[in-house]
Amino acid sequence: MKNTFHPILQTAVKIVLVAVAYFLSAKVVAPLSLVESGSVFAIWPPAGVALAAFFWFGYRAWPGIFIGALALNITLTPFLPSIQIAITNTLGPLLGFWLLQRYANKNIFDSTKTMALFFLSIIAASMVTSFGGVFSLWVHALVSKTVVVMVWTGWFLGDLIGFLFVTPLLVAVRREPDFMLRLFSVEGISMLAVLAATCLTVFGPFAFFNLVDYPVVYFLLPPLIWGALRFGSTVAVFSLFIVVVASISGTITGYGPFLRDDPNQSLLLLQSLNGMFAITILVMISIFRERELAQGQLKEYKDHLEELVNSRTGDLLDANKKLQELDHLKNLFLASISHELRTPLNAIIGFSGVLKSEMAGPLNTKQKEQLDRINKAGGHLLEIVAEVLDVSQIESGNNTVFVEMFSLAELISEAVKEIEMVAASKGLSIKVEMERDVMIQSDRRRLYQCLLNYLSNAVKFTEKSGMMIVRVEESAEQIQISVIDNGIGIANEDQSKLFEPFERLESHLKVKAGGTGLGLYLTRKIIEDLLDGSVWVQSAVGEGSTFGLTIPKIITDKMKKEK
Amino acid sequence: MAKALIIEDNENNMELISFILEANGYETIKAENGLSGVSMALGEHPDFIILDIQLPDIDGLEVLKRIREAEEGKTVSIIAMTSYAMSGDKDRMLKAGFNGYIEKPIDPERVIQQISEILALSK
Repeated sequence: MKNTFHPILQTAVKIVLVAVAYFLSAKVVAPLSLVESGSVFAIWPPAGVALAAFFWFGYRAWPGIFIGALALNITLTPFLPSIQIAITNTLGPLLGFWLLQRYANKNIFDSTKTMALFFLSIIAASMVTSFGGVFSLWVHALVSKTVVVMVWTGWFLGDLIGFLFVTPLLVAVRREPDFMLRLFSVEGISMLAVLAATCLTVFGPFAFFNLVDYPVVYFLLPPLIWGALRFGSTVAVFSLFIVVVASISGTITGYGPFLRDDPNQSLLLLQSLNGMFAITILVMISIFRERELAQGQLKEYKDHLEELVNSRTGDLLDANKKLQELDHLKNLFLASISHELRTPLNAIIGFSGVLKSEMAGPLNTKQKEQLDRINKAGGHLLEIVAEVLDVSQIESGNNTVFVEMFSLAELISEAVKEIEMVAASKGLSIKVEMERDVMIQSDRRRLYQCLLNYLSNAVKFTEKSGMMIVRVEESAEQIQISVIDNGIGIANEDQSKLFEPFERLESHLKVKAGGTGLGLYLTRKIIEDLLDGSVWVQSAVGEGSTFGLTIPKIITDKMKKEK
Repeated sequence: MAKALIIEDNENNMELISFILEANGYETIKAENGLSGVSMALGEHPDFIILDIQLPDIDGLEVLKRIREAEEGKTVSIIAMTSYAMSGDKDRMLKAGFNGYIEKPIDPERVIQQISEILALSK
């Protein structure tokens, strides 16, 4: 919105406004003067107006305060002291405002800390105005030595009460000009009615007994707290203002519990109680506001957190999707590359095998031996390709399990037969220990693969003339197959690493082994992920090793679907 | 002399299996794709067929189906030979109607025996 006023004109208007407000607020309480000197009041609203003016318009408001104060005093005192009083009456609120800006720098109602700073600032401001004013009067012999302390006390308290009641009200109204709307409800009107009725009862002419003897003023606390609790800071300070107006009016007109023979005593009592009410309610408001703001922040943070979590979750889902795509690509790649590798390997293995068998003609020993090397190397490579493919398929979870019913004894004898030739060439014998045949329901090919892996490892790592045992133990629901050798054994610290991928154990084994580094890992993945079983090893260096696997006799289809 | 039809698209594999069979006294005829394999199976009356599963035109299972559908192909022994080394493949092949299954890479010293065993069983 464009402001049509020139900035200087605007400032001038504001200054005039402040001056007029200052002047009028003093005139309003003029009939309320309790002290005969005429310059000290139960409440001095101009002080509060001056401080509020800084809140409304900033430091630029000072000329307005000065002009207002000068105009006011010039009618009461000679010119020079009037100037002096106007200066200190401007400096006091200015100091208060500066302190608040310097140390609080936010709304006075928003925390107990800023509220405490507000109290300290208005005490400092009242010191400046009261000392300054009384000093001016005294210097110009306008106040007698006998009453100077009393005049100062009245001035100080009047200004302090002015600050305490008027500044919060004006500051709050500026922030919430439409606060009265809040009171347009059954509860709002009830609260106002109770407050008004209490004010009238305590300070009005309707007392049924001598109020002075009883602490009836405390009846005012419930409606004040009601207002503060339910309608916020502006309504609370507005209610306080009603109480102060009612208490002063009542006391002036000769009613209420503060009436004493000495009007100064009445004044002091009135100011003490009003001040106490004001401090209580203002502190209460600041505590509510502090809590409200903290809750707001917490809620905002919580809402934001949810938003943050949502966006992060989205990112993660995207990333996860990408990873899944990549994983899928990796598996496709591995599947196709292993197919491509296998085809030429089949030729290498096949033809070297044909030549070696002398189907295509006789060979000398050296030729035969070298062809055997080609044939074996090809076979080894093929094994690696197959294992890599197996591992990648199991890891990607898209490996189907082919469950069928078969004889365990048959499977074992097949595997033993397969390895027997190699074992025999090393002078190893294989013994099967099995009490009775068991029909099991599992993936035959997978189990065969695992058993063969254990057997070929045992053959590899057992020196000549060793002994191997395949032992089958049966429980109600499981079978356990152990392959026991009396080979070189495995150190304790190495045993845990055995079933990890590419974990080739150190030392001379490496040279002799010639496996892929994936065999035991693949066995573990097959047994754990596909056959719902577990693998284990027991070994002692120099004594031999036992590799075992435990699987359920029956894999149910249901179990596989859950994977 | 028994006559074997080899249906195989890979030249190396074709040479290998045909050589082994010939070296062991079999007569061989060769088809490099599924469709010509089917027509030779039905037209040239082989005693048994060695059939690759991955073929450029129609796959081995389709070849098998077409041969079995024809009157002349009802009884001929058909052996699957493939590197489909997957769980359950062997079972799937046998269920589909193959008489036997030999996994690649073949072992030259054992393959003749494997074939003989399958043929003996399917008699």
